[in-house]
Amino acid sequence: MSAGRIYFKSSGVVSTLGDGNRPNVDKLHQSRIVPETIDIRPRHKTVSAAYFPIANPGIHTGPSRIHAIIERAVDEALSEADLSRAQIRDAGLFVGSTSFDIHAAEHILKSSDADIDEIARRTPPYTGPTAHVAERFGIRGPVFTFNTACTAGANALMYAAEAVRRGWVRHAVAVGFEVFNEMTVMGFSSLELLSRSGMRPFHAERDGMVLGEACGAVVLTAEPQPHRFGYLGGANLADNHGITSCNPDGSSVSQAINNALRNAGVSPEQIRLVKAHGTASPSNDQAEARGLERVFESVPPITVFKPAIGHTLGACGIVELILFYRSLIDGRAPVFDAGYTIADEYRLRLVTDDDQIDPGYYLLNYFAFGGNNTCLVIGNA
Amino acid sequence: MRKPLNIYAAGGFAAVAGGEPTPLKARVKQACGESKRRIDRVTQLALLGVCDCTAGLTPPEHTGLYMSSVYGSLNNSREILYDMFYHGEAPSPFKFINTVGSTACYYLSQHFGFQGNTISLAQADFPLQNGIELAGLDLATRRVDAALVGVTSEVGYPLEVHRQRVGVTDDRPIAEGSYWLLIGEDIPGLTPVARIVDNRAFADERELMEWISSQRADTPLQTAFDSKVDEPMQQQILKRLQNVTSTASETEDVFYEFPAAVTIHDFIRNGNPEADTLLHIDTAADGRRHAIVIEKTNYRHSQ
Repeated sequence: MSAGRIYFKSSGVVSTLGDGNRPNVDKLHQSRIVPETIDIRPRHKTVSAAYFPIANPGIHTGPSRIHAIIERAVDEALSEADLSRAQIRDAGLFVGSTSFDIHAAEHILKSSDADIDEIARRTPPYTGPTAHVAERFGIRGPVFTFNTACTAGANALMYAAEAVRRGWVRHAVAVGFEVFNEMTVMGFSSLELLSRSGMRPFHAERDGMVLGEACGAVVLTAEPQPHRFGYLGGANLADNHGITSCNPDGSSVSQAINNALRNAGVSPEQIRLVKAHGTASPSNDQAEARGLERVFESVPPITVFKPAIGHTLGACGIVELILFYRSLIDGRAPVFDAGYTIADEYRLRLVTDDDQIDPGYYLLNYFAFGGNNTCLVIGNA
Repeated sequence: MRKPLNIYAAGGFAAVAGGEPTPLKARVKQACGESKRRIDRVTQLALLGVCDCTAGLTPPEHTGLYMSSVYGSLNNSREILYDMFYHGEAPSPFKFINTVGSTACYYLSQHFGFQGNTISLAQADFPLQNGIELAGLDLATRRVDAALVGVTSEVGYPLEVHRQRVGVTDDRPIAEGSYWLLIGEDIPGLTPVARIVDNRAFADERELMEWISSQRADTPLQTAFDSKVDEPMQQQILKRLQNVTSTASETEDVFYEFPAAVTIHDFIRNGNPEADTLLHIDTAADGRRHAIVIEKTNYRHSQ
């Protein structure tokens, strides 16, 4: 069991809900969020898909769009943290993503005569965005880039917190980002994982996900914060069942959850609320629901964010964490107008505005392609 | 990393890239004892490296996997973009899945039946060293009982494009492959072949030099420098060290994307009769530095 809470000193976020912590939390609670429809025309055919884009006129299109999005979120987090230049310099940087700079390569391919090999010569390795953040903000501590699909942001946060806890660094910046690119949308379309009817996690007639783009950044410290929110523990676990889905009987999910609880020193009975991964895919929701039922005799209320912001893949670990704890700091249950109910076969219920969420401990689930399962335990007790 | 870690095995696979990709399917089948379907080249290279590292050993069930790569599934990703933007074709499901960073670790974990962490890093600077850092965190908190830490690199085709991508525009051969270490604090039934005594990053040259000045070598020391560490800096470092019996810059003969991993592997597997300790100095494009210290134990790993 790990000891010592690692606090969320500050955060920054950019998503379809808006630019900044406050707009994101406010819009989450205000209105039903509807995705846009985008058309992808890589060559001859047109593929249409629902999508949650970052809607901010200030964040332009083009190869530097990735940098602009990440800078917005990291700048907000660092400004709120009010660290000195020396503290930023010595901080660790832990970045998670799925999209990296694929968008930049696609933009060049579509807008110029550059051929595929020219793109290969010019595009940097996956670590380009991370290196940009380190240089832009003057971070000279240890730098890591996590490439674990939908758990990338969550893994970045977990290891950032552990690095602070072990005293490697006094502060760590954990970043998760996902920027729209056609390859990802078309890939998920090929896998038949995109919804035709809207995203409804755990609904009886769920039919898949809607993707989205976002960036979140959290500054971590061992110094207690007034709101008391922080990381207590977590676990990452290989799931050898299948490359695109967890074991539907819930065994691998429950193992990951139990490992995280054990690492955090928290019992299932102490969990007040669960942030489900909730991708609305038939198999993964099944696995997650059964996994929760295995762990909890009485499953706490759950919340899901993907119907509001889309599945933001590598970013979701950080972005959903921010929406979750920032809502609770505001004294509000992290809930939005989901507009549907959970299937009767699951012993789950969505948290509502009527739920009184007292300070306590919370479980956040993230599951990824490649059998990569990560669960985080946070708290403000 | 603050607590020394034992190295129980070192191994890998590398092949010099020719005009066409070297077929690996049969080699993977021989190494793994079974055919592996639908895997891409990165996964093939990773499997070959891990199988070599763990040959004759049985890592614990709760072994974590920590794999770093600079470019990921390079040829596969290129094919997808080409098919999309030149032919308007959507990626096939398995081709798309193989672009996902976790995929190689999935197949490794599945093959060995591991129930530990699987962490894939996109890491241009200090790839092996950073993997060791994360493994050290998990070993210290008992998340895993052992860790396989490695680096994997696939050569992209056409080769002349890859040369420009990695900045090797002369005639030097370019290698692809993977190198791995099996590490842990105490793995029952296994005997360490070496120890990672220190593994740390520095913000700049000044911090590195301060640390160098504080080091005392009790055993004969081999130093090795990444090829980006310039000669004057190498000399400054050597002046501050004692007991240096041999020095090497990373090989100029063959280009590897992960030269530190090759150096460490060779030190452990092939040995250096003149030195019991390896100090490897690495440097990042932004000026950060890194040092790793490996000490051999008396046991010599059998070939």
